Parts: sequence; structure tokens; C-alpha cells
Amino acid sequence: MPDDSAEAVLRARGLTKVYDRGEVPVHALRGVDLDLVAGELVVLLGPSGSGKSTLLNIIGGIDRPTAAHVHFQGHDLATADERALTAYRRHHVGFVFQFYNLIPSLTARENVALIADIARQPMAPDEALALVGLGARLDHFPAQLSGGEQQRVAVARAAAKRPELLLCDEPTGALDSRTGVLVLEALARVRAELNTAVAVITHNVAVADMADRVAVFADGRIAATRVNPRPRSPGELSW
Amino acid sequence: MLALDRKLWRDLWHIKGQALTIAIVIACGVGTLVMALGAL
Repeated sequence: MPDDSAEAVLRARGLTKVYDRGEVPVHALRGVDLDLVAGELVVLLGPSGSGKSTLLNIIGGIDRPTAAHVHFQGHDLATADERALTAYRRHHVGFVFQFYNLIPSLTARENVALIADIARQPMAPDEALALVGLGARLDHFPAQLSGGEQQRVAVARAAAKRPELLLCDEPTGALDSRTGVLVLEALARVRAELNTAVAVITHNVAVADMADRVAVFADGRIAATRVNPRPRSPGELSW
Repeated sequence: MLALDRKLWRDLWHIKGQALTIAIVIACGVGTLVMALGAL
């Protein structure tokens, strides 16, 4: 899904991933091309097992491709060593997962501070939490927050390092429609405020309506792409 | 204090009973060893 109209923050070409541990090799990705552009929201849509999470893990520096070129700021992630990938994840990539992965013994503010402590030019934890609408819940522990609030803390935590890429794997998968919309609004605010390239994995077709671009995955390939002429605001979505 | 250090101390406080018990067991073991060596 190349995009020649703007300078891409991340450019992946020929992304292939084969899991070769069992008797039969499993082809998770079969030559995917993808560009992520600053300030753009891309939704990766597709059924379970179609390769979406594998793609996100590779462009996030968590996993390595079997074959590919993944260019980010002049570096090829496909050939980077562990230390370089760790630095890439630490300084440039924010992750939001389906299950929030907050530390239960730290408050919302402290969970965000965990990242702010090791980032180069971090946002203040209070500022990051205010950005996702949780300015009044700074000192609450995860157990005192609802699922949607916990996910918004996770968004604030990812945004606190001011990442160039914000990668979200089913961020609304565990939430109902109304709460999910609040999380999507938080993502939209982070994108607008930081001009971050946002990639959202989902199998929820409604979420695709807020994307600038949609890539539909099937069997390890991008089966179709479309540009949304008029992306809807999260508040207009329901499912 | 870094958030990670705060997590360490808070988690330790939550298991203070277990931590104290482990410390006592180790102290007893060391004490027994010292007394055994001293009796030789």
C-alpha cells in the first residue's frame, strides 16, 4: 500500500514472514508493501490470522521479517541488531494493545511516568493524561478505573514519548461501542496534537470509517486498499 | 524517585509478610551455621 503523495515516516517493502518451526511452514506475510505518513491514520482491517498483528510487530521492531526492507529515518529495521531495535522502540514507537498492560501497583500518573522517565523529550504525565481526557483521574490505580479509562491511560502512556509511530492492536477489542469511541477520540487527539502516524489494527469495520486510508488484509497480503474521502470523527461511529 | 523504583518499593510493601518471613528464615539459617562452626 505505497503512498507517493507524502513523505513516509516508515516505508516497508516486500514484507515477508514465515514461521518455520513446525512440520509445515506458515506464511504469515507474503510480500506486503506499506507506507506510514506523519499525521495519517491507517486502519488495517481483516480477519484473525490474516497477518495484521505480525505486520504491526515487525514495523514496531518487536519481531523480525524473514525478508523485507523496512526503512525508518534512513535505517533498515530488517537488518538492525537488537540494540538498535530497542532504541527504535524506546524513542520512536508507541504501542497500544487490546489488554491495557498497565502496572497495577502504579497510579495512572505513575504508569505514564514510567515511559516519561526513559524518553528523550517526553510530555509531562499530567499533560499526556489530560490529552486523553483523564486529567481528573491522575492518582487512581488501574483497579479503580473502568476498562475504557485504563485503555486511555495506555494511550497516554504511548503518547508521552511523543512517538513518530503509534501502533494500536485492537485498541477497542475489549470495549463496548460507547467506551470504544472514547478511546478512538483519545487516539485522534494524540494524532492531531503530535502529528503522529497512527496504525490501528481491527476487525471492526466501523472503525475503518475514521481512517484516512484502509488496508484490507487477507491471507498474509493486502487484498485491497482505499482512501477515505471524508473520514468520520470517532463521535460519529457506533457498532 | 523513578516510577520503576516506586513500583519496586510498593510491590515489596505488598508482600511485606512474605519478605519478613524469608528474611527470618535466612537469618536463622545463617545463625545456625555460625553456631555450628563455632562449636567445632
